[in-house]
Amino acid sequence: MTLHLEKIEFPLQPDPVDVEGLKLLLGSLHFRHLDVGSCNACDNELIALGGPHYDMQRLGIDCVASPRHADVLMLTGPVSRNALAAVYETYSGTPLPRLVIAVGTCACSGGVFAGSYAVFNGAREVVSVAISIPGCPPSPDEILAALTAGLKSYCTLNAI
Amino acid sequence: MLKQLWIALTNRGVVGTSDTLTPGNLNMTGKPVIADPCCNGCGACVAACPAVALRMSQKSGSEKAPAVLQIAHGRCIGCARCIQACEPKCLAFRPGTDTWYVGGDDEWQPLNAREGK
Repeated sequence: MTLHLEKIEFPLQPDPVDVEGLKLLLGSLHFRHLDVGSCNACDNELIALGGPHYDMQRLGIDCVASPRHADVLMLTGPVSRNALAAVYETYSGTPLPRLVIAVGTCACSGGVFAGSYAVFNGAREVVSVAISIPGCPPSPDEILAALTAGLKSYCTLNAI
Repeated sequence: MLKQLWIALTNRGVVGTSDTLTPGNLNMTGKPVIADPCCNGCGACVAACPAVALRMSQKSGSEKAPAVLQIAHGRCIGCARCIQACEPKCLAFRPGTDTWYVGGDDEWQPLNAREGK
């Protein structure tokens, strides 16, 4: 089944807000990390998050290999054009409720690559982003703060 | 990294306060804040920013109002070069892990807009 990217309108529409589903994320958050053109600094910070020093698993946060198992997509990198199909298929394959978190300045705004012919200027040009974590790279502390306090703030803002 | 550490240490957290840096908040990450409202609009910080995250905005309306320094949080990488470049020493580096923001839009905001959010 061929994917016709030119027929899809980006940025993809945001999902309807599922308040009860979002509340569950505060206790257990399984994310799928997708590297869309990153220099891998942000990826290494995410790996450090899983290590013994920062240990995200003690908070119920875990990295999963399949987007089918994921609650959250962590995008790193400025979303290169070559990775657009991957973003679309990963995002489409993630069951609801799902959120997208942009990790790193590149995913927030394009970063050092902003304006390049080869990238979109950040994840917000492609999907609807729930939380953005600027930094080059953001330290694991910042990512943890976004996954705990930021998620709580997002849930409060959307639980109207 | 060492330079940023020096800046953070000598500024004792936020200039003008009695914040001290403890191992809990001794972090390379944070954002610039205006600690001393003596900005003269020289724009040295804007030129020093490698991420094009600062700008001087004249949208205050009247000519009497000084130019407002604005930051795009989605572009700031926390390198603290703007604090180094500031001559009247009105910028300070506020270490912290709460640089996240909800949503994907990083519109230009005044520098202290997110304090105490």
